[in-house]
Amino acid sequence: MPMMTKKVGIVMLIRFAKRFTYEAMGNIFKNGLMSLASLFIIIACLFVLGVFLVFTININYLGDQMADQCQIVAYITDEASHGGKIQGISDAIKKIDGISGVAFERGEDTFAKFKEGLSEEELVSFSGLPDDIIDDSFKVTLHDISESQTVAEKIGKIEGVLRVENRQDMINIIYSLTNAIRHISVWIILIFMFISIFIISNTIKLALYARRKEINIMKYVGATDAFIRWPFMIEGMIVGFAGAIAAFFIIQSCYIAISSSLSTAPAVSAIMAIRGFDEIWHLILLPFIGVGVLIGAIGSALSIRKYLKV
Amino acid sequence: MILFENVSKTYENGVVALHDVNLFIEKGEFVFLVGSSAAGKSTLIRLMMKEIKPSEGNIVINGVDVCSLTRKEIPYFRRTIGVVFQDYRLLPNKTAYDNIAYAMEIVGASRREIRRQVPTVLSMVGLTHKAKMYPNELSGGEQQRISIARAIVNNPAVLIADEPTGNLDPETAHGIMELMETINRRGTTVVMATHAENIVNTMQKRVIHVEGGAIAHDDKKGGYSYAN
Repeated sequence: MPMMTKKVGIVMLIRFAKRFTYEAMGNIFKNGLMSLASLFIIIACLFVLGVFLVFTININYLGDQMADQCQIVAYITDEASHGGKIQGISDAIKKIDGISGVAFERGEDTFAKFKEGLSEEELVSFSGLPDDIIDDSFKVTLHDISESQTVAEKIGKIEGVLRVENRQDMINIIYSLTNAIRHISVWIILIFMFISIFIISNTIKLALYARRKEINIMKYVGATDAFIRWPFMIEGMIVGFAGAIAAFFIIQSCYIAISSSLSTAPAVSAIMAIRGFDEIWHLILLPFIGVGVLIGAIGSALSIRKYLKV
Repeated sequence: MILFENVSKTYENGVVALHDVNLFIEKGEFVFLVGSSAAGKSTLIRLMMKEIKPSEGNIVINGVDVCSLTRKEIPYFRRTIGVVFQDYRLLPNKTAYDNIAYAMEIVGASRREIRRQVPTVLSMVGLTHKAKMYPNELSGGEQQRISIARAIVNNPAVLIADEPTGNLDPETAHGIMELMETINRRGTTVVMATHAENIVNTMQKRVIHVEGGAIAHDDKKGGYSYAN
């Protein structure tokens, strides 16, 4: 029979979308208190999530900074440097997988740089030494510091390479530390998302309990589950979006306050540099909006399920 | 057209609500369902709306085998029957107009169709001037008229009414019955469960008397008095 058809044309879809959004907007204000409660829960959850996010971003940054300093240094033999083999060795190193940069440095320059960092008194003990006391070297940086061991071995096998200096112990510590923190953060973020969805869906359940009669009537009139569910989901998504924006600004003001107080403390700024908020704002805002909208939608969809079974 | 074939219903708690009921209601008929409180009237109505499933037997409404409907098909089926309840069941946060429009929105009617059809049914139930009022601002009779308007706005083939006059005074109830008769005259099959003896007696329509989960009498032009 014609009334049983389920085909929905594009015109009808647009009509429905408009109606759902309109309905959702109306419901947010009609159920002001519940919307407000959901909003605050989302803000609170996103705030906790944001703290971990900021923490992770900076730990990663710190790890990257330290990893950059943990370059592999390959010293080459005198024969190689004077026999015009520098280019050949450089090319050979570049062929190894996982290398992000290779820089050649004359032994004289390395020595000069070393001496720059010394005081007058300390310099005295180095006077009289020939400028080329240090061998010429290649400073090799890697994409992934976990591969430093294998890369170092490969470099060591290249002809003309005298010895390879690889601060493996240091690299290992940094690598495992940043890795552990990354893993922990991912789990904490996931757990918090789960908790948020749980709390949100319970809050919405309370709101829906008051509206279950309404849902019942909709079902009697012949509304499909999707038709009833969508306005509620859009409602959740709008609240989630608003919560994300609010939480973002809260994190922003906290971050700026903390980072400015940290940078004025010389002891801290000497060891670690914190990233400026203007560099990382998108790393916070985008996940916030994504997570906020997602928990709003899932929370609504989960909590309405029960009431649709009529 | 409504057809019940050897329909039985036993609830999960063991109560036998209907036992081997056979029933045929033709298109365009006006039928009263009468009987005492636990007789099985409500079960009959709930079966017709596919709110519950029969334990045994077949039900065909408007050519649709109701028992074989899947969960997803039920909403589409419900749109082909209009339902009116004793307690009106209007959406409290929508105006009279929007309550009626809602029934059209769910079937995907266009704004233009809604703007044409809703005023038509509003005038039919005589409440054009109350379109912008919310249910709590309307009297019981007015709320029931709006709920009837909602039930018929999509032109269903069948209108099922469960004690529509149950909460109304005799005079208001009379108005509602006139409205039901008008709807019936337009070709809609009307099935109405009721306790109102005087209404049944004055209307002189087919009366199906349900007692103890079975059909006790089925009189083509009956009155409530036959029941006793």
